[in-house]
Amino acid sequence: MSLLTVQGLSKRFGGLQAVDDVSFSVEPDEIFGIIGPNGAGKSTIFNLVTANLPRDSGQVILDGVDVTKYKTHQIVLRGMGRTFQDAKLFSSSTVVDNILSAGFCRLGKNFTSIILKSYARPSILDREREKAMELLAFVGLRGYEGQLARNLDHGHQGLLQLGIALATQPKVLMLDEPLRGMNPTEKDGVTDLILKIRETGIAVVIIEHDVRSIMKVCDQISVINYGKKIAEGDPREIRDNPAVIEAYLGAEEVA
Amino acid sequence: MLRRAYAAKLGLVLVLFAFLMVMPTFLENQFYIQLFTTSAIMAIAVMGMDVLFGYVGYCSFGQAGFMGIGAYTVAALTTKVGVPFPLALLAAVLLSGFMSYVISFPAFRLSGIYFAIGTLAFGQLVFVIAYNWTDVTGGVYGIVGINNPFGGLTGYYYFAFLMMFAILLLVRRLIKSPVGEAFVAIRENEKLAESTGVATLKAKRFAFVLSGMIMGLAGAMLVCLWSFASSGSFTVSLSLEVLVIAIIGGVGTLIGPAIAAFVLNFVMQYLATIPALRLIIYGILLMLIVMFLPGGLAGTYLRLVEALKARRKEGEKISVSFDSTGSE
Repeated sequence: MSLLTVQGLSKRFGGLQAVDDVSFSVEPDEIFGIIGPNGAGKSTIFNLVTANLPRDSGQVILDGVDVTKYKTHQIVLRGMGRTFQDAKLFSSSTVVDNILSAGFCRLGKNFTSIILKSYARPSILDREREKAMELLAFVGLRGYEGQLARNLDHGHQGLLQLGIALATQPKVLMLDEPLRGMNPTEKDGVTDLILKIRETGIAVVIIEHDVRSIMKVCDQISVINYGKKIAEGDPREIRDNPAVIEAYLGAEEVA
Repeated sequence: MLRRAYAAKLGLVLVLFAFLMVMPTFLENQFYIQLFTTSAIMAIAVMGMDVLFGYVGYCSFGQAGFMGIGAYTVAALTTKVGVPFPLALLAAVLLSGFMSYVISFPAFRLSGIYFAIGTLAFGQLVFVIAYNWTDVTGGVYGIVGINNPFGGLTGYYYFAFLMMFAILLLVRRLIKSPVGEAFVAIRENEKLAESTGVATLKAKRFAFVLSGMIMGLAGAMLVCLWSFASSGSFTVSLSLEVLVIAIIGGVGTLIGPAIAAFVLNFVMQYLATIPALRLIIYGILLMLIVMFLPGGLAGTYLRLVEALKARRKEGEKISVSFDSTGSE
C-alpha cells in the first residue's frame, strides 16, 4: 500500500484553476519528483496536501489514515514534514534551537497536555539536545549549532530547513525547491543528503525546477502543467515523453 | 563558573527582596509607598503585555480593555454585591480571561497591524460600555468607595509585590519551557511553526487568554488602590502606555519591561504633572530608544553582555596560542 495517496486535488483562485484534479501516490522509500514550468501549480499542490491552503476538493491519505480534514499541525504530527520555497527558518534563534523547536509537537497528544507537561518540567526538551546534535551532524551542520540561523549562508540555511523538517520525525518529507539558488557544490551536497534521507526509510517528495538534478535522484516523476498532471513515470520515460517536451519547450508549429 | 553566576543572581534577587520588604517600615512618606505599589501593579500589566507582544509577536492596542473588565468586576462585586475581596479578585481574573477567550476568536482572524487595529476596537468598546452602562459601571461618575482590602497602604504594598513576584515566576517558568519556545517560533515564523507541528491557533489563543487574565488582575488591583473605578482610566492611552513601557524595557525579556515599569512610573511622577504630557514624553522616549537602543533596555544589556563574552573568549584564544608558542 502506498504511503501517501493524493486523490483528485483541486483548487481555484478566482478565475484561475491553479490545480485541476491532480492525483498521485508515493511508495515508502521512494523519491518522488514533481516538476513543471513556472506557475504550473507545483507549490500550490504542496500547500494543499499539507493543508496550508484550504482545498476545493480532493482526498489525502497518509500511511493508511485519511488526513483530508486534518489541520496542518495535525498532519505534521501524523508524519509529514515539509520545507518552504524561500528558506524559512526561526531566524533569530540558534541553529540547535531551530531543531529543538521542531520537537514541540512530539511532547504530548494535544496542546493542553503539552502545556501541562512543559510547565511541570520546563527542561523537558533539553534531553533532546543530544538527538538534535546527531541530526545536525546528519545534515552536515555540526559546528554551527551555536550560530544564529539568520547568519548562516544560503546553502547552510537550506540544510537547516531540511534539519527542521526531519526533526518532526516524518514518514514523508515534502521539499519545495530544495536546490533553489544554490551553486553546483551546494546542489550536490543537498542531493546527496536527500539520497541519505531515503536510506533511513523516509519517503521524499520534491518539487524542483532544476530538471537535470531531479532526474538523478528521483524514482518516479510527475509533470504538472497549468495545474494538470500531464505525465508520470520514471525519469527515462519522462525525458522521452512528447507532452513533457512540449510543456517545457513549447508546441511545434502546426503546418 | 555557571554556578557562581547563578549564586550572584540569587544573591541580587534576595537583596532586592529584602530591601523591598523592609522599605515601608523606614519610609515615612505614604506618597512613595503608593508610588511603589502603583509601579508593581503596572509591572504586572506590562508583563501581561509582554507575554503576547514580546513572545508571540502580536501587538495589541486593546489590552487596557481587559484591565477595565477586571477593574469593574472587582469594583462592582465588592461595592454593590458585597463579595469579599479575594473572591472578587478571582472573579475579575476569570471574567477577563473568559472575555479574552471570546475576543480571541475574531481577533486571530487578523494578524500584524490589522490585529492591532482589531484589538483597538475592542478597547474602545470596553470604554464605551463602561461609559454608558450606568447601572453597573456608574457611567461618568464611575464607582467610588471601594475599600482597601488590607486596611492600610502598607498591607497593599506587600500584596502588590507578592503578586508581582508570583506572576513573574509563573510566567517565567512557562516562557522558559517548550511552550515559550513555541511562542517564539510563532513570532519568528508562524507558517514554519505550524509546519513543525505547533498548534499555532491554540498557542496564540492561550497566550492571549493568559495575557488578558494578567491584565485583568492588574486592573482589579489598581482600582482597589485608587478606591474608585472610572471609565476614563482604562482607555486606549493606557494600552499604549503599557505597550511603550514594554518596548522601552525590551520586549521578550519579561524582566526588562517590569523594571521599566518602575523606572518610568517614577520618572513620570516628576516630569509629567499634567497627564497629557505623559504620552508626549513616552513618545519621545520611544523614538530615542528605537533609534539608539534597539531591543530596549534589557535587549541592549544582553547585547553588551554577549559582546563582552565574545571579547573575553577572543582574549582567551590569544593567550592560549601565546602559551603554546612559548612552550615550543
